[in-house]
Amino acid sequence: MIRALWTAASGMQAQQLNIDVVANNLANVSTTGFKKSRADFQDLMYQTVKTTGAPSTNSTTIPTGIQVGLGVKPGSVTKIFTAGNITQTGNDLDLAIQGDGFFQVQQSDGSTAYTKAGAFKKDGQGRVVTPDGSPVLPEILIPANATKVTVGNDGTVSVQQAGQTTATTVGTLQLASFPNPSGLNSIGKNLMLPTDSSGAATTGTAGQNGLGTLEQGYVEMSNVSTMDEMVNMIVGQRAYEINSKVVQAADEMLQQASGLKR
Amino acid sequence: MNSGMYAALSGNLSALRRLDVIANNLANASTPGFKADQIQFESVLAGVKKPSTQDPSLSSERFSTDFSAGALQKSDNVLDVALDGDGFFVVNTPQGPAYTRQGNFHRGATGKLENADGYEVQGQSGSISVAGGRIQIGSGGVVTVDGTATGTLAQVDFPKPYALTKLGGGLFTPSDPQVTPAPSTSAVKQGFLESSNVKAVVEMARMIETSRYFESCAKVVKSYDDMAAKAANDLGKV
Repeated sequence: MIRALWTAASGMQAQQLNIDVVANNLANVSTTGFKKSRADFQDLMYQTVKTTGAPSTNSTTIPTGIQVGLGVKPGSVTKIFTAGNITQTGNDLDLAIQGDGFFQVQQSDGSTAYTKAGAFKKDGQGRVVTPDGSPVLPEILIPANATKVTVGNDGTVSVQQAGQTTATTVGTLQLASFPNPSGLNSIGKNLMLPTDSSGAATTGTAGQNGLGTLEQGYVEMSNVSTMDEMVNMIVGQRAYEINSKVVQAADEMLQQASGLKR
Repeated sequence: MNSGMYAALSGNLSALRRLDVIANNLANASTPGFKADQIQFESVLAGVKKPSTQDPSLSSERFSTDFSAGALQKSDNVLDVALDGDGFFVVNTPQGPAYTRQGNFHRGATGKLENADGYEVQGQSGSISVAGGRIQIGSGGVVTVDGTATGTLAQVDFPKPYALTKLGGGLFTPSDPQVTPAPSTSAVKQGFLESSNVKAVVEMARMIETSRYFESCAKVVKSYDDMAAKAANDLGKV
C-alpha cells in the first residue's frame, strides 16, 4: 500500500538483528575463547520511478531520475577474530594460543570441531578433555601417577611421574588453521565447524607455518569490548525507535487519506 | 471544475514518495557505505503553483543522492577497508563491474577477497587472493598476505556530479553505460568502515515536514469536496 511502511519495517527488523547480535556478544563477555560478531547491513533493491538519462524532450535528457529504495537487509553476521585478553590462571591444563590457530576437539559423532577455548580438564581415564568431556585431538593420556604436567610452546606435553626424576613426553598437541576463520560455523559450546567458505583445516605444530604458540597457565578470554557493545546497543535502539516513528508517520498519512471520504 | 483538487492530490502523492525515500534512508541509517537520497520539496511546490504549464506531480520533483562521505568508523576487522576521500571499490558482479564504498569484505571459499554478496573485489590486475594468516592493506591499497604482495585494490572515480544508479547491496553503476570510470588515489584505511551518511535528525525533520505537507494537501482536497458538496446540495435549494 505505502512503501514507507514496509521499508521502515525492514529497518526495524534489521535493528532487531543488530540488538540480537549485541546481546549475544554481551552475554558472552566472559566466555573463554569467545569471538564477537557484528551484523552488517545492505540496502535492498531499488524501484526506478524515473530513469536517469531518458529523454525529457527531443533535445534534453533527465539529469537524475528517481529511484526509491525498498529498505535494508542483513548482509552478513561476521565473526571478528581479533585476539582476546590472555589471562593468567596458573592452571596446568589452561592453554592459550598466542597467534592464529584452533584446538581440535573430537565430538561424540567422531567428527572434529575446532575451538579457541583452551580451558581443558582431565577426565576419569586421564584424557585431556574440554569442559564438556570431549577429548582434545590428538588424544593425550596423562598417567594417573603424574604429579606435574608441562605443556611447551610447541604443544609438547610432558609429565613428571611420582618417583621419577626425569619428565616423560606423553604427546604433542596440534593446532589447526583455516584460510577464512570468519567462515566457520559456530555450533555453541565454543565449538566451530568448517564450511565451504572457511576452507579445510590445515593442522600443524604450534609456532610453525604461521600458527601461534601455546602458553600454559593462561586462557584467552572473550574479545568482546563492553564499551563498544554498549555504544552499538544505544545506536541500534535509537535506530529502531526512529524507524518506528516512520511507521507512525506513514500510518498517520494513511489515516488522513482514508479520512478524505466522509 | 476542480483542477486544483488534482494539483493538491499530486501533492499528496509526492509526499508519499518523499516519505518512501525518507523511510529508506532511515532504514539504512546503519548500512556501511550507504548514500542518502532526497527528493527536493520546493520544486514540488513550485510545480503546484502553475499547474497549467507543467504536470505538477512528477516532472518537477528533483531527485538527488547525497554522495558526501560518511564518518569513518573503526572496526577491528582486518578485511574492513574504507576510502578516505572520493572514489569507489570495484566488484565483479555477473552483470559486469559494479562500484561500492561498502568495504566490509570477506575471504571467500577460494581465498579471494569478496564482498558480502560473494562478488569478487577487483584489484588492478584481477581478483585479490587473501588466503593466509596476516593480511595488511596499505594506504595505497596494496594487499600484503604474510609479507607477500598479492594485489592492489582497484579504486575508481566518476565525473562529478555523479550520475550513478543504485543496484542495492551497497552497489552503484553509472546511469550512462558509456561513462568510463577513471582511476582514483584516495587513501585506503584498513580496519575502518565508512558509516552511512544518513543524518537521522535531518531525516526526522523532513519526515515531519512531509507529513504536514501531506496533511495540508489532504485539507485542500477536502475543501474542494466541501465546495462541491455545497454546490450540489445547497445552491439548488430554493
